[in-house]
Amino acid sequence: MPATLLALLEQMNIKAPTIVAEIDGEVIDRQKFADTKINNGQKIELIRFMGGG
Amino acid sequence: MDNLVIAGREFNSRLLVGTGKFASSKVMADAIEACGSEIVTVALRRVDIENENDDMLLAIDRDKYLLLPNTSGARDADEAVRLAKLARAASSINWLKLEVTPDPYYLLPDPVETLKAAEALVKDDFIVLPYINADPVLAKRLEDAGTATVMPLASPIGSNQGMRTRAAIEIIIEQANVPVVVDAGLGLPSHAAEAMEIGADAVLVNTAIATAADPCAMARAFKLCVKAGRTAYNSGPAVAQRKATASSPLTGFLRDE
Repeated sequence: MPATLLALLEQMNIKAPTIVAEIDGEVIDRQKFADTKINNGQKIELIRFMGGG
Repeated sequence: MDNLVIAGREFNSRLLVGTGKFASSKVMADAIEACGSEIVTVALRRVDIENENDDMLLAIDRDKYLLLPNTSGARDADEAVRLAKLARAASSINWLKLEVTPDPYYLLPDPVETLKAAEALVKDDFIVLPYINADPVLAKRLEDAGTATVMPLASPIGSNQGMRTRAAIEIIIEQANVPVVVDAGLGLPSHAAEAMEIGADAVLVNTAIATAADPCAMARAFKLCVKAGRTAYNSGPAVAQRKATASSPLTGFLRDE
């Protein structure tokens, strides 16, 4: 299992620049993706912009 | 100059455009360019990790267009506030189209939850553009709460029915001290022209452009009609009357009385 949020995104081939992430309901600053450690049992939401009106 | 001013920021175009339902990011980008819009709405959704396709955001030149994230999908104020914070984290933009639509059939906005969310978001330094039913009292309440605009619907989202709420929108325009953006239901350029003729400050269009057979050409048509409607409004439209009034002189007829 990847150690950080950034490593997780890289493993899933998701480009970080336009992603927003929430861990257990808390929004994580993009600048902190590399420093944010992830653990088993956490709920990670990955969200991005899509077309919408 | 006759620019649109929202929250102190000036825009040349009075046409806001949504980015949903386009066949591809390329078609979307071309249509945005064609309609001359400077404000484009986007939605937030979960990343589909099974299907990591192209990022539509990359097709939008963010130096040229102001991204206006929406809170579509929110069913109450709490969900809208959560989406707003995610949008701000994702974009570093504090502008927000607030929409709270718990009703899945007509997608009509919930006035109570919208007002509640607007109050919380204004306090949290968001520039809030709320999508509402055409309710003049609610529009006033939102303006008093500090929203940057009010955005009454012309008819249900994506219904293309045009200005069904015209009479109420006229009251909103008469009373508003913030820009009135007619949003949702404008299916034809003539609908947009009608909204502008009665004094709307701007219109927001998505479905009518995105689902046209030729979205770029339709985008141009909307651009022209928004300009025409605004010019007509500024020109002081003639007043409708029940009886005829002759356009030609009523003297000097070629007949013997």
